[in-house]
Amino acid sequence: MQVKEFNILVGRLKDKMYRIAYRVVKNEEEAQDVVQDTLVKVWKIREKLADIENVDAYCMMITRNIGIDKIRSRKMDTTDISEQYDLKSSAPDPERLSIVRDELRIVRAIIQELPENHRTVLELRDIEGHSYKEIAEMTGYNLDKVKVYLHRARLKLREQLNIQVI
Amino acid sequence: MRPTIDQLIQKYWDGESTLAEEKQLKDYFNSGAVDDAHMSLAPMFRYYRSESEITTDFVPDLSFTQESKPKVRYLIPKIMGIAASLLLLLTVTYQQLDMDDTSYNNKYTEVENPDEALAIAIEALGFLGTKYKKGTTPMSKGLKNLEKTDVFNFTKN
Repeated sequence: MQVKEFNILVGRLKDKMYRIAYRVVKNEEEAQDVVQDTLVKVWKIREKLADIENVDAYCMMITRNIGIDKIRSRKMDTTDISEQYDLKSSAPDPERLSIVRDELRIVRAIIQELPENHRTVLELRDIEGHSYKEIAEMTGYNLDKVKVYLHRARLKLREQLNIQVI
Repeated sequence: MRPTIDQLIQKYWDGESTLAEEKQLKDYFNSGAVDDAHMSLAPMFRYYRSESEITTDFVPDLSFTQESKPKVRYLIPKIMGIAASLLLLLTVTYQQLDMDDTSYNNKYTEVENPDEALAIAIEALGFLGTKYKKGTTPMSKGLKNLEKTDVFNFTKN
């Protein structure tokens, strides 16, 4: 992989890497560090990338692992992350915007309460849109576990949000 | 037959929905045309969409990609510069030496005729004599002045 190709890859994956890193480390600066470290690592193994079936998923796996290493090396900071996101909404009405923000905050809080493995699988599937196979590669869980964790996470979310079964 | 939203939602809860169907659900719940019967699910799908759209202004430092370039590539212009300088220096030196040799041959000629040679020698010595005289006259004047002073008359004391 040449510098030009690498720059294209960075442009394509940077935001996604950041989101995954942020969900793991829950800190903006540390998430940026994780992205930086990930890119250095990916560059070092660039010759091997040609043999990797899904480079994007592989990069996300590295991002996640570096993020996990980072939180292992420090005590977790449990500040409220809801204020740090700049939520986008097409609703022009401030009152409506406030309601939407409250709704999203509730969903986020419920997801944060899920067991780590359930939460990870849910985020990779329902937010980042990865396939079961990709999630299995990224997390190291087998396919069956991925499906079970996702199912349980969704059920828990439904239960917590008091959603009626349709 | 295309599944209805209710069917898609059911597949979602059962863990049987595909990525395309899940995208369809997200589009529906973020469309602003959500049926009242589905409103309780809207925050969840809106959350998924809003989270997936988070971006960062962070610009990673990619200078590390420059380090692995082969060093020879960087040295080539330097080597070429040094070689060009040496070549220029050698050319100038050679030309200078060649020019000196030529100018010597142009300036000095041998006179075969003895009378002509004598006349030239006399002329040259005459020229030298006038220059010599010009140089010694002020010197002799100065020496005479010095003799007048007591400082150098050690024998008087």
